Amino acid sequence: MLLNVENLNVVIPTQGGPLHAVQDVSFNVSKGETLCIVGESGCGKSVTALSLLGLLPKSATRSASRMTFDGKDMITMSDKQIRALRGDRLSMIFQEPMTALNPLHTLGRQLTDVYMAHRRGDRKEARERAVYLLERVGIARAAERLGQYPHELSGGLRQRVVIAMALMCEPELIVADEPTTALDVTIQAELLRLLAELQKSMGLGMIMITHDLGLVSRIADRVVVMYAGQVIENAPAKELFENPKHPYTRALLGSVPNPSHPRMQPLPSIPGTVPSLVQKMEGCHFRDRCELASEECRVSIPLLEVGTEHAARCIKAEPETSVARSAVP
Amino acid sequence: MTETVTSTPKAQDRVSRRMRRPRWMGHAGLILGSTIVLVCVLMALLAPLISPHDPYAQDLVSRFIPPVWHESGSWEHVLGTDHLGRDYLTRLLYGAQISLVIGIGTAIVSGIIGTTIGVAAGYFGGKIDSVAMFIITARLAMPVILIALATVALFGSSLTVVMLTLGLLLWDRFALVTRASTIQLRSQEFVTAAEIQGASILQIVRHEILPNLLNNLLIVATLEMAQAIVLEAALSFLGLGVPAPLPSWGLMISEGKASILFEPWLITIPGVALFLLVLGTNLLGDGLRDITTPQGRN
Amino acid sequence: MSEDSILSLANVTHDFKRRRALTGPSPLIRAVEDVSFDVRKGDILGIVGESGSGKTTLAKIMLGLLPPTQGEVLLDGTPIAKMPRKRIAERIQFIFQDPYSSLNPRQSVGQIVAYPLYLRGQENAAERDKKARELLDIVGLSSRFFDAYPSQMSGGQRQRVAIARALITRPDLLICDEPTSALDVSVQSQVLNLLLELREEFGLTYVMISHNMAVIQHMTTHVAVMFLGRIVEMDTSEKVFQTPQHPYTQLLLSSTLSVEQGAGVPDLNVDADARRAMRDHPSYVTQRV
Repeated sequence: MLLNVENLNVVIPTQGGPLHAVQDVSFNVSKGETLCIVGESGCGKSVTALSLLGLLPKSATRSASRMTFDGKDMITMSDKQIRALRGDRLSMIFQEPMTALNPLHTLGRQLTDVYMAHRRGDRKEARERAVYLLERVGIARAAERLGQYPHELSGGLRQRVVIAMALMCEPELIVADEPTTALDVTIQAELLRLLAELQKSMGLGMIMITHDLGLVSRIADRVVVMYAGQVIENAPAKELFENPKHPYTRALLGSVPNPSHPRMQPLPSIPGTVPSLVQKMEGCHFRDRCELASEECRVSIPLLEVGTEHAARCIKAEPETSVARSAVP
Repeated sequence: MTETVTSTPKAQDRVSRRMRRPRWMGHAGLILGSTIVLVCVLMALLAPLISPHDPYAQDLVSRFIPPVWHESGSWEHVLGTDHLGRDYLTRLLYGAQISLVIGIGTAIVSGIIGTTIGVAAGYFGGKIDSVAMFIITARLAMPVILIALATVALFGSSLTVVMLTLGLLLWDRFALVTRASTIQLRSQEFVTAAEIQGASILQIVRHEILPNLLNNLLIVATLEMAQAIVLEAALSFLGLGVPAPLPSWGLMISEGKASILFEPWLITIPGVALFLLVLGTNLLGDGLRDITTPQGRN
Repeated sequence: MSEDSILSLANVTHDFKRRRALTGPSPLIRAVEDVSFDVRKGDILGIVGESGSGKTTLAKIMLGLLPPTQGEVLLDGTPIAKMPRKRIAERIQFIFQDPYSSLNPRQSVGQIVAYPLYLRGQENAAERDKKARELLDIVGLSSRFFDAYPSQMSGGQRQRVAIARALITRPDLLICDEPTSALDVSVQSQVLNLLLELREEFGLTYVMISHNMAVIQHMTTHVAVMFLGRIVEMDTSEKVFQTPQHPYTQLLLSSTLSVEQGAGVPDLNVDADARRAMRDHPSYVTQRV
């Protein structure tokens, strides 16, 4: 197991009170595995990613019963240690290629800076690796590109450079937060293939954060579904799409337009809106919008085992095997 | 199979109260600034009621009486008297009127001029913008004090002349800020939405642009007010501002500068008052800017 | 142009001048090239394309906001260029993509929705408010939102306000620019359902611009595929989605990631040469009789 997170909690103070952005979230990723964290806006998926990389706002409070990277404890790491890790063994790819790259520096400079910051090599070594990686991510005339500035490239090319930058120091784990959302659909497919291919050949672990269920279905090995700050379902990809257990997951899958829906007829939709995360909400967060909700849903619901390696935070989900229900760590 | 699209009451679909505690309550600068300004405004408004004497009444017997905390001071003249025997407290209170009238008047005049230029430049762009920028640049190239001095020398010094002169000179920041904001607002979709609805340019400026400029305008207005107050004091100090015997704080400082060694209160009292008013106005402006910064999207 | 036609475009072309510097040549950029189609009553015409396809420019031209360099736009048979803005607003309305910037943050929901009536000047304040409340009800927003401000509402709620505002003048045609792209999936279906419902109830016609093929496939009667300013394929939705003819349409369809576990990411195999070939490939436009 490369990354292991247990009971992660993040609280961010706001004008209206403490925002419980991430509540009791647990997951893990292994070498070569792709974990997708899926959820809608406000579910806490981005904050989860930021907390892994030590990029939360200073005012935020993070706590977890366990957070280890390759066995090393991340909770008690100093800022210096996290920075040494970040960009080196643990990389991140953000959504907006426009803002991930510094408009005032050449691409070559930005790529080599990452390398020089973590390895002791000289600039020549760094340049060679940069050229190699730019070619690897499919950018032609790589050596020329080193002298170019971000604004000279299109969005798709910029994101490729960002991916190359994330790979400069041979990371073991990449955290990608909606890396293709801002790009055209045809470019998206190319970049996803690239990421998958790089992952396989370099044995990388990958955490992909997204709201796009289609994307998840195509690339995930394992899926974690988040809603209103909590993990509400955790399953291998095949399991999740064939046998979604949590009412939210099912409703979400049902509301995505696809050819099997009768055309121009109303799609199943989820009434209401996501509850506010300010002031902790008792019981199931989804209960106000759930058809199956009842009085028992008002108490705190743990993640329950509902199948092989499949857990859901719902008492109405029927487990496949009728073994006594147990909380999944 | 029609799904209900009404938001059900059981969903926590309330109109959320974004602020539980008003933002201004936490801001020390804002509270301090507005208190100071409020005190000065009260001084100005209530001057005729609470002043112990007439600001112009000279009493050559009672010249240079020190303030009450000196051994030779008396409660008759709490802040002492000046070289003509006029009560200083009274002149201080009436002086607040002058500073505030100049400050507010200038802010209004320059605000109107600057906003008109800025919004026109930002909204229409192109040639109008080029012309406006040229005018603004030309104005920035002018030395304000010298022109003010020259104008007053030409037209004679009076409250109105000083206010109009400063108003006609200090509009550049208004113009630049409103221009930048208008350019940014112009590209917002709600402005396009209004255009689609057939709103005329004036209607768009009135309903879409100006209300969204109000924040920035208010902040710039307080800062310009502070600047106008200082400039008027400076001009009056130089003798080319408000004419004697008006109790302008700047003029009071000027009249007292000969006596700096032996009757220092003549300078320090209006000096401190000026300092506090300008400080307060600046704090108010800063505070307003801080609390009205949009909190961003959810 | 048939009698049923609400909006008709004929050979619309639009060029932009791109100013390079103070002096020097200004190259022309052709944003839209030779676009012609009919929007008939009851249609939902989908316009699909990626960034740079010209669909945003086309939307502005359809609204009459941008006069095209060449060609004509006819609304009910009359050239739109000759019609006063307010007349057009009575017939065509627009829904923007971004619910966060399409509503004036300084106006309350009631004011926003009533604004078109206020501009029209035919009703008094009380009548306008009444109609605004009616519209809020129709789009499924409780009347307590009447005095609320956009900043207090979610994206989906704001988009409903935008729809209410668009419908208050009882237009016949609604042009929607990516109406649900900025919304979450679960809210998307709410808004799409609402649009379908309103179309039934008020006999509306839609033009829906999107890059999301799944939404277009679900919602439209006809589709026009745009690539580099041209319509490369146009036909009924059924035909386009079942038997796409143009290589670009095929590319778009294959790159759409539908929910299909285990299917992997499609290998598009499109390089610069292939893209050039797509640009020069003839179009497949079926004009209706």
